[in-house]
Amino acid sequence: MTKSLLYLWLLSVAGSLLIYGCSTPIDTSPSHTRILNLDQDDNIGGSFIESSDIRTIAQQFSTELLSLPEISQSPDISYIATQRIRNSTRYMVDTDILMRRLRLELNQYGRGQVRFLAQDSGQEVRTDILREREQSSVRDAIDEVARYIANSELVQDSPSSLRVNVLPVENTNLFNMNADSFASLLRTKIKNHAGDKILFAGPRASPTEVDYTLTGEFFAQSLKTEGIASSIEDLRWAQENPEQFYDTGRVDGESTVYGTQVNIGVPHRRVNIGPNTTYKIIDPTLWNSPNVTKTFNVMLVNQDQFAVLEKMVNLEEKISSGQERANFILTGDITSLTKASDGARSDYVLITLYLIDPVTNDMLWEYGYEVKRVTSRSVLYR
Amino acid sequence: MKSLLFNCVVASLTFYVFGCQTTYDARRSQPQNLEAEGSIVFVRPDRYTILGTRSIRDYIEITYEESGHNEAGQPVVMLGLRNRGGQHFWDLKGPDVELSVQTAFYYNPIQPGGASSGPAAYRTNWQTVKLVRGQTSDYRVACPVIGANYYQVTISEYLK
Repeated sequence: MTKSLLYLWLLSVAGSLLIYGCSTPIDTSPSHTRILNLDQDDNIGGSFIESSDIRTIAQQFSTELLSLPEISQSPDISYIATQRIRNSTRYMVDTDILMRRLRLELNQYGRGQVRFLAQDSGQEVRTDILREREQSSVRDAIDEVARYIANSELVQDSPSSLRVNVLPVENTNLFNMNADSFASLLRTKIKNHAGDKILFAGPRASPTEVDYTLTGEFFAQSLKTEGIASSIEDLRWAQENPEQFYDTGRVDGESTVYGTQVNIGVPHRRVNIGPNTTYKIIDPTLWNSPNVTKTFNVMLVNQDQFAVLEKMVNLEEKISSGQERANFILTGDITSLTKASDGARSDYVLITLYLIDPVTNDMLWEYGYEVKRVTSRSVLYR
Repeated sequence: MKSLLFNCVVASLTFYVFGCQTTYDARRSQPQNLEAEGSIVFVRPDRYTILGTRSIRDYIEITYEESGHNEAGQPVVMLGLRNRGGQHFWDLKGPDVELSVQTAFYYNPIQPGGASSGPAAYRTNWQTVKLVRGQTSDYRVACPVIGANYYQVTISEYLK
């Protein structure tokens, strides 16, 4: 082979490679799957709404809502509560996707003019956080009560030490708390603040041997009777009545509550149920501490059974959903006129979204979106 | 002859060697191309045929173009889009047309640098406009970003 032929051969190979490289555009698509633009037709069929409709609604709705005088000219943030969009069509679609897209657009471009209330999201963790914060506020409240009693004129101006008996606080089951523990905590705090001004009597002291009785009660700021069914009370009851409330023969789980009954010689793990556990089974609302504002009222009662000193503190605030701050309710409807014949289907879809004033119930503003599609390929929407 | 072939081979090899770099500079848009873009642009057709094109410009015309602000100060753009039907001897009827329209809003004027020479403050999704033959549609779009007063509307065939 001469050099010329070699060069010619190399040149032809190089040229072929270059031309081959120009033959088709580079294919960057993934195998088996095509990535679509969010507004792109998926070529599957169907005559109902598409992703492009949802995105168009969100774009148009958010700009129009933000230009409403009630929102754009308001000096304050407008709070919006939402209600699920009602779907009256024959299609089973999750209407939350539309509401979330609206919320996303408004949160992104609302510039702080509008704020949505987290009605269903993160509520369990929120409750936990608020309850844990209240643990420290309960201690502060007890301290406040103790300080109030210790610094009162009744205690400070007394020529001698006051002898005080302690009765268990009532309705401690509102907190699922042991009454004796609470009384001990309160007694200790008062003693810390009052010093020798107050002498607490032992548990066997006669009422005639003391000057005052310290007692109190919890109550719920609610229209209905609140409370929780405490299994702890059942166990305590069982311990105080050892011959009646340990399980001798029954082994079925439904009529027993589990706990260690230690005061009957041999510890039993299975104890017959008491009324609290029965209520708990019947009424699930009694499982947890009710969400109401719980107030603690403490009294110092004299021997004539008159309260000479009284103090009231809120120990636990009701966890509010925040909906009372809502300026507007946002909700809507999806309705359609559907026709079908010989495998072809047509849908005229009307989507309306509206703002309601929660006080006057006025429908302040309404947005509408219409689309009509016909398809020869029906699909399943979810 | 030998030297010519030799030079060609060397040139080809040089191209290959250059292509073996891990990275290379991206191509920049030509300023003169961007400068030529107006506030309403049609997307280039995907296919050219012997008689005419598949260009939507053959059928769609803009009857008016207005821009301003609404009461809340949001920039608003309004366009009249008309399907004028077939205008060629090989196609006097013309089709009904589905368009996808996207509008981008900018803080700065789109000229002289061209709309694509800077980032958009807000970009709508591709919104579908259906035009039967002879129909004029009033396309209206508002921008929630106040101050983004400059815009470019891109009109494409229906995205599929």
